Amino acid sequence: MNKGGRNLIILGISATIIAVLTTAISLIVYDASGDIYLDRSRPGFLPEKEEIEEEQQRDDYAFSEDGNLTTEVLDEFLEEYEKVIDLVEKIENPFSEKPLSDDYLGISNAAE
Amino acid sequence: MRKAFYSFIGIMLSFCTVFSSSVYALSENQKNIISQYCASMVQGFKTLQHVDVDNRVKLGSRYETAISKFMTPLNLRIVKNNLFVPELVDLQKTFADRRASFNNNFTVYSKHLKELISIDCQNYPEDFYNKLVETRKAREYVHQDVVYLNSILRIYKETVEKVKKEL
Repeated sequence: MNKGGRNLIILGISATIIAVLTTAISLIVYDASGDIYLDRSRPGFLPEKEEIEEEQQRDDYAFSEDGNLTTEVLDEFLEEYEKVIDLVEKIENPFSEKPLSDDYLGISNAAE
Repeated sequence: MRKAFYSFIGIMLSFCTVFSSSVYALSENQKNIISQYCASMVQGFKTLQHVDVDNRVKLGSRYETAISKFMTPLNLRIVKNNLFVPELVDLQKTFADRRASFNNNFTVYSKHLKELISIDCQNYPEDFYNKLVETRKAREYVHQDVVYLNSILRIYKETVEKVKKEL
């Protein structure tokens, strides 16, 4: 094998090693930062179609920071703001203790 | 002198033994239950992971909407209209700080849940249970953040209603 061929092989191997290393570092950072727990592009975590439509509708409104402040303006603000509160409160008892409790898992009954 | 030294070493070793042993002692029956129903528990936790991510993203985006499209522009508009309502500014800051706490606590909780799922509960029920208790505590912190954030949203609305009455 001539010198040029050998250098090409070395280049290919080096490029592969660098690619593997940088990918590994990226995955480590992805996991350590917590972004993996928010990534809904993973299989099984994709949002439903209705949820996407609801998000798009909600994103249409934005209160303006410019202009006068009147009761009518604040009425409109409060009406739209209440919709956001309703959406938040629609999620019933988020992160409640129940799914991890001994009773729910049937472990506490076993102590008797 | 030598006796006092050996006594001190003995006491220190006793403390180490106490703190290194399992915090939660399970009965044999509990261990058997965990070993027997290990697979279904783990499957349940995997489902819970999905639900939690779903709720986290929904809540996160709604909190972001509340602060960026409502609180921030309203507070700016109030200032531009030469009004002074420090309560609204304080509420916005408190909300932002607690939201950061929610993000961090959720990440910690998710890591615990992931580790819990990976434990071989069939053969190591005590390790599994200890991890379950840690995960439970982490989840409680997330729950408290959500309760607090939701209460601030309501208080902010009540404060705006007071401002409206004074206009």
